Amino acid sequence: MKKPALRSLITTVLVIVVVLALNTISPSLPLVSRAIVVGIAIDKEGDVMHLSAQIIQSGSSGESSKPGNSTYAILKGEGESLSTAIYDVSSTSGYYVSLAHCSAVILGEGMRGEDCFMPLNYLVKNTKLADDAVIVFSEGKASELMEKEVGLSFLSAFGLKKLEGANSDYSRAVACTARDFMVGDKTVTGTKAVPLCRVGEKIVEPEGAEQSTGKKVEFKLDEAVILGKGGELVLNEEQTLAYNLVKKNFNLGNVTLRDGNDVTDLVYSNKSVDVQVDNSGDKRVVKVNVDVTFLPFSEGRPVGKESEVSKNAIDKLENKYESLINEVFLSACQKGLDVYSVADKLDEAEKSSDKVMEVLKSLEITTEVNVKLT
Amino acid sequence: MNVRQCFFLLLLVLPAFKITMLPGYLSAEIGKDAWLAVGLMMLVDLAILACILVVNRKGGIAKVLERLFGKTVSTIVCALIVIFMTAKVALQLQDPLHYMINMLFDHNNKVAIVLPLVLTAGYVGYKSARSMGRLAEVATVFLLVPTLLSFTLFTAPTNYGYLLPVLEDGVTPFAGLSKVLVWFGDYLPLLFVRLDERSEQKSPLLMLAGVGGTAITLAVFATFSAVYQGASPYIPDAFPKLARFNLLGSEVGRLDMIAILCWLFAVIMHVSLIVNAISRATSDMWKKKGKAPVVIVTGVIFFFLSVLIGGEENVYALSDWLVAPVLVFHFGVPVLSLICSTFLKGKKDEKTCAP
Repeated sequence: MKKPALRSLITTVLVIVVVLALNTISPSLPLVSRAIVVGIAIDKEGDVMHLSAQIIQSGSSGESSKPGNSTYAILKGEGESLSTAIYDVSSTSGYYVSLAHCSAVILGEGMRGEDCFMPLNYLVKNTKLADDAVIVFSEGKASELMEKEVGLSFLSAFGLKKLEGANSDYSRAVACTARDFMVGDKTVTGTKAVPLCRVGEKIVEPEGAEQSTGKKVEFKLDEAVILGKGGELVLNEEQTLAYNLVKKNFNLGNVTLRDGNDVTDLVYSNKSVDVQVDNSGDKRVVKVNVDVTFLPFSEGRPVGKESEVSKNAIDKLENKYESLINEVFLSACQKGLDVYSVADKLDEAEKSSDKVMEVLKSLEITTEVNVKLT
Repeated sequence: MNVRQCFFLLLLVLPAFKITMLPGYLSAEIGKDAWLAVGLMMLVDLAILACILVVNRKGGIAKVLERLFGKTVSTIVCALIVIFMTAKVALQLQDPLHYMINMLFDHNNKVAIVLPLVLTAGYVGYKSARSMGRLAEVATVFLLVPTLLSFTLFTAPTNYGYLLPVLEDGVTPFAGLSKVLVWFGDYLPLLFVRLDERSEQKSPLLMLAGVGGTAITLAVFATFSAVYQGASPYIPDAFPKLARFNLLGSEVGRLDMIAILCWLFAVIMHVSLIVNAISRATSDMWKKKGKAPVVIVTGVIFFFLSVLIGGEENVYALSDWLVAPVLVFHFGVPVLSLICSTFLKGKKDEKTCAP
């Protein structure tokens, strides 16, 4: 055989081998056998963990091409651990659970406290879960929340993801992704903030929305659960805003100020936060300084810093923020939760997990909020 | 291969095996100063590169040793380096294997992953160094686009302040570096891969490639620590995990695949550089022209060793055992060959030529 012909033959054989080798990957798990999970709900009853996986289900071949024909199904499984529950879903449904496109993880009320650490660590480390998947706690059972249809998206998982993003932009919710959870968990006190999701009273029925199988409800994410090695603390709507003011970056949102008959909208513009621990006195004091800049609007028009907003109204707002920030900090410290990340600023000797809890309980706080108009 | 081609090749090769399993593992060993430790090791590697370039100008290690000590010594030393490079690549291949098995595909079939990887790298390595360099040169331009896209659309919340203050726990944790030495010393193949004669005066460009590769690796390490902070030791695949944080990720699906393709291409170039170096080394040893049998045997050994090595725990156990050979081959051999080459100063340098 001539040399060029031999070379072509060898190249062809190599290409065939490569293609065949690659082909051995797919037959074991064809696409139709995969359950493309977009969200999971985890509940715990006793020692048994219940998993609900929301999957996208395409319509039959003729129908699937029509818009709006995709629907969803919820597969269920249970086991003593999350991995056995996932396996149970696969073995009972015949679908292989693929978490690569999972957008939301909903944890039921029974998963609060220590019970949520192991399954979430498993999800982040051992599965293909995207690190930007949102994590929320539900009021009541997570599986019930997952079955609801929410807002403009008929899938609760997609809805939650969009809602959490939007709400955290407006400072109404704390945003927590799988990454945030892991990072918080590995601090000395293991403190992390997870939004608490509850079903609102509003029924949402937008016209022209995606195909729906029932009435759409409103999810509310304006409360949060702070949890760590010392315990947990539930923040109400206003406390969540105060927490966000110190800890989170938000770029939208407004506050309405009423001064007699005058109503002014203050639209958030900028903020800077400084948290320090002052060791100079007898008692250690955490000093929080928050500078918030707002754009004042009246009757829909920007009125500039010469607006009619009285100093009294501004003072009231500053005092409200200050007392809320202090309240959140002191309540959290009593439970050993390092809500404003002050543990990093303590002496090296105090950073061990048992000592830091004692130090946190002894801390005092002074907060200064400066509201500026621009 | 000319120096410009080698420049692009080194830029691809240097970070290839350092940005996946190593950041998490090194964070567990060293803590938040892991990026500093890597920077330190890569600076040492740069010094080794300077030694290797001098030896390369003298015609490569085989020629230097042959002229000073004779054919037998040269053959033995080259054979030992070849065995070491083979073992090292088989170990390093666990890095993409671990990612593909655990994160990319839903199966545990190593053969199906190693076979295409080794065949492709073997074929590229079989071609002349000039072809390999040309491929790296052309590919780098194409890879720049997705790399820049990934950087500009990167959305992970980063806290670079976490990296400060440096050396908070002193230098004691740096002892952990001894367990991962095998992941460094990527310039060793250049002892055999010869550069174009006309590019002798352009060594600074290769040092610049070393600095560039170091900068890329450091950027990934520092960003990884800034994103995952205290959780870094628990994240097994740094680069692919970071690539998931993309602005378009939640809108149009998994764009991280683009970044991962760039990384896998770099892995293939790394392996093919070593295949090429091994084939050059054996032709230096036995003066044989045909590279095909050597490449086939090397590929078969890579294949079986990679499949046999097993899980993550074996990788680090083996890299721990390889500390002594690493010290000898990564650091000892280049420095000793530099010293040897100085004895050839009086003689006329061997003419180097592109293979």
